[in-house]
Amino acid sequence: MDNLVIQALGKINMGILIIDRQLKVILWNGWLERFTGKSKEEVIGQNLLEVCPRFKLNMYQNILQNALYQGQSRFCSSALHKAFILPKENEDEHFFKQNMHVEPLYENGRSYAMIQISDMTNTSTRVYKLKNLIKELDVEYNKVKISEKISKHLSMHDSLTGLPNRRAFNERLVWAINHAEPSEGRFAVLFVDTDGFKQINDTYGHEVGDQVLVETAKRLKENIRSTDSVARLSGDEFSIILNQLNDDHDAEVVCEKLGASFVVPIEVSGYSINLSLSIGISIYPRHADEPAELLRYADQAMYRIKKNGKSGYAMYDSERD
Amino acid sequence: MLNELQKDMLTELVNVYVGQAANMLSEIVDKHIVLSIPEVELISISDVDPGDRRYKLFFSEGHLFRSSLQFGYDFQGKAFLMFPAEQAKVLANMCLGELTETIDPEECRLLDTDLDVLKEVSNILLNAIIGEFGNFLEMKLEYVLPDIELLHVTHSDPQILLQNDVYVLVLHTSFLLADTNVKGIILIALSMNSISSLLEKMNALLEEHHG
Repeated sequence: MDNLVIQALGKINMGILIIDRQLKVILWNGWLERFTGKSKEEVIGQNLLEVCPRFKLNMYQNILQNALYQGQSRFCSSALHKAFILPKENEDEHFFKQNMHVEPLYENGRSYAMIQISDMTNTSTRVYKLKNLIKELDVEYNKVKISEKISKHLSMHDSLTGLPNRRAFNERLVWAINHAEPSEGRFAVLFVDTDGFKQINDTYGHEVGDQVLVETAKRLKENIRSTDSVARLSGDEFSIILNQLNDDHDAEVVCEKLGASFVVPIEVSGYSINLSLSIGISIYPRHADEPAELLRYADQAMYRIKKNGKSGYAMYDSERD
Repeated sequence: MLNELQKDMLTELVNVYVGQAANMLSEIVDKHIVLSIPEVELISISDVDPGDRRYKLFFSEGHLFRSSLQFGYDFQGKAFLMFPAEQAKVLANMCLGELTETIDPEECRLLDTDLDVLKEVSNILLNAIIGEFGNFLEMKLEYVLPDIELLHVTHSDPQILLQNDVYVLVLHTSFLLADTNVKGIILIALSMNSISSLLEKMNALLEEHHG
């Protein structure tokens, strides 16, 4: 049996050494022989501090003393200590990673300390790689999140004016209905079309036309509340949701204000351009409670203004539109 | 369970013990770590009030790092050091020199090396406390390496624990490094003999000092 134990100690895949109270090595197993290149004949009987100089550090001497005199077991992690025992030909302690267990042993009233060394070099490299991989994944994930945010913004906004586009407007309209419904609230949909925009494009060119649209968007936005929303539906067509109205007349007051904001001509590239608005109004829930209908009725009311000489606003009227 | 004088004495004792552990830890990680135990109690687990904020750690659901160290011979029992997983991660990072003030509980990943570091920290801390208690009581003591576990605590788990009528010494622990403060708890479940010896020894000392 003793022979089997000795064979096992020789073949076990970790370093095992035993020291006595004078720190003399009394067991030096096969793994340590292979790893350090020092045979047990060379090492046994030597002082541990001479064989493995790292143990000269105070903290390790304390650990050994605590095991030998107080019976304390101790674990030292490779992450904090790097390595304890190094090969003769490679004394770079930063390359090797070892965990160490120190356990007290007793025989015939004497105490000893058993030191077990587990090689963690490969595990540490793996953990290091894994940590880097996790960091890289985090960076990539954040990039994807940002680019998703940008794509979402682009897909919901008009690139020229920066206003929400038709898709975003439809979503907001559904949201407005869902919120107004339970509280029996009221809101207005304005369909806004500029008057004579085609002529501006034809006379001054598309670049000037684009700047006029940008200024139009700005003035519309400036003249509504932050809780309202304006979107560019297409070309020179805009639409506005006026939330939480007390009565229908409130929508007409906003239309007056919007019209007045265009009395001052738009200055673009040295041109002074006069622009007016034709606005149609539909009211939720009085005229309709469906998004498409609300927009269509506002469009029809706007069309009546266009027919009657442009520049102004009109409330939807089922008999006249 | 403990009167004010006993509580003060025990708090002073364990703070000396953990001070030694903090010095050892500071030397290893090469940074100044302060360890303190602001409060010590001796309680019966079944008397714990789940609403008491000091025991929040027991009653909150989630991942918990737990290290346990069994000790025996004359002075007998089992000691536990517990942290919520994200606090354990902050502590491991502190020791590894990767300072992070907060960790998102959802993002908390304890790697093998983190667990090894925590095993060593708990080994140092629990050895210091238990070893010095043994010395204080002049009792022979044998102990093994701590076992570490990462547990997922559900709401019902602490209730099961509460059914056990076990006396424990509760040490509310904090690790301070730079601006980071990691809070954990140490529970030392003691045999009735060990508790009696501890109380007797303390009373004898208190009598010597206060008459």
